[in-house]
Amino acid sequence: MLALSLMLVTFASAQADETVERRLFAMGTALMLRVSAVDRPTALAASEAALRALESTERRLSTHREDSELSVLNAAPVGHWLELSASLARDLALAQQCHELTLGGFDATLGHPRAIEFSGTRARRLEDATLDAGGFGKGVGLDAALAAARRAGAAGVMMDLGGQIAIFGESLEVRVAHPVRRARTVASVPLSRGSVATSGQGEQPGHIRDPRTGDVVPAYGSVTVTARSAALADCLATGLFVLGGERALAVSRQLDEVEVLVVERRVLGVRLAGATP
Amino acid sequence: MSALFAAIVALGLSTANAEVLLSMDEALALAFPGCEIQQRTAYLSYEQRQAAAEAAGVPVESGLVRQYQGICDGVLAGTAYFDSHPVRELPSTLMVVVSPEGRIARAELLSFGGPDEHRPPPAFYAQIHGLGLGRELAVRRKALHPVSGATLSGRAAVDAARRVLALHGVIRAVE
Repeated sequence: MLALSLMLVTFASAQADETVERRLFAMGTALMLRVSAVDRPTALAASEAALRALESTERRLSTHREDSELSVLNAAPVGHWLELSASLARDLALAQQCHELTLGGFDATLGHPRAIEFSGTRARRLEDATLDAGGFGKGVGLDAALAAARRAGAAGVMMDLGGQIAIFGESLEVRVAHPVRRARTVASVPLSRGSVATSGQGEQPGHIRDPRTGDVVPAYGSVTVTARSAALADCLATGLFVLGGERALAVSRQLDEVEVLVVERRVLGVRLAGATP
Repeated sequence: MSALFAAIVALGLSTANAEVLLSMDEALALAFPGCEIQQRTAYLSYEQRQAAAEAAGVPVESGLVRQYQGICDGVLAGTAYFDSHPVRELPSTLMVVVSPEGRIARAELLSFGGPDEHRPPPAFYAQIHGLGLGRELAVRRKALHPVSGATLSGRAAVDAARRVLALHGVIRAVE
């Protein structure tokens, strides 16, 4: 996931009397959170509910913590069945779905797609491979945070977690940065619900590899995805970027309620191509 | 950064001209919901201040340190510090919560005086995530890189986090 490729340009607040803005860190990156509600105490409580939901997601999915549920699964002996929480089972099912939707471009097993066997809410490792939530964890956290804020009384929420935006009850224009000249805007993406995520090699060259081959994906530009689910936007952005611009657009035309923008570097400027169902 | 203003204070620095995102009371109530907040003041000797400054790699100008301990059901949940420091001569306040294990559990910007683009950039928050005391602090100090366009505010945020961790360690050692 490429952070900071999205720049917020407008924030149309929902009908609410108070808006709280918070800036802190969560899930290993920066979080900017705006919550509107009928009054300030409600807005504060909803913002904290969102933050706690992110923290809960991190405790479940972080591979930097030995005690996370995902780390426990990764450390389990090969062949040993583990009972998963309903949340982790749902997370991993989404990762598997994303793997299929992107024809293998997204792979939480980092090149060992048959290394984990699932049976209901149980899972076991079939070989010495591990799962990584780097391509979908933030999105899962954003979905959980939006739901938590809503339950706590928020009328509108906007979150920017390390460059991925998620909203409800608001509308935004999100700028997509030039894949190399980060200060330049090459397009704007309207967002009225759900999430927008961008993937590319601009900020950390070479950090995205094709899980099917292990090769570094060429830095041809970026792929921006909007979807109702932040988790889906997160993993699709990575998986479609791996496929390359033309293939990404072809695949995205088969996806419901997903919009894709491909930015390709050219000798002079960039080429924009989008797919809308 | 002017060292004269770099001090750990509770309410000492003015927030005039600063945009206040959260008040101290709000930030504490959110960090420790439903818990008792116990305010404590530590007075450090010159030597202790020097030890903290050496560990942090940034100046520690005041020996007066206010701590806000969150006590939840009789158990220490964490200790909050408020580090106020100037960024381009305007006050900025960061709340840093240190877990009982001595790691940064939360770092939240409470107020900022400069324009929006001068707020600490995301990359700096990412660098202090989970930062702990001891050798790790010294090692990470060398690995903290500035980000162009927001260098002063970013440095100030990371410096504040390092200063809090170092002071927390010195006070804990005394206790």
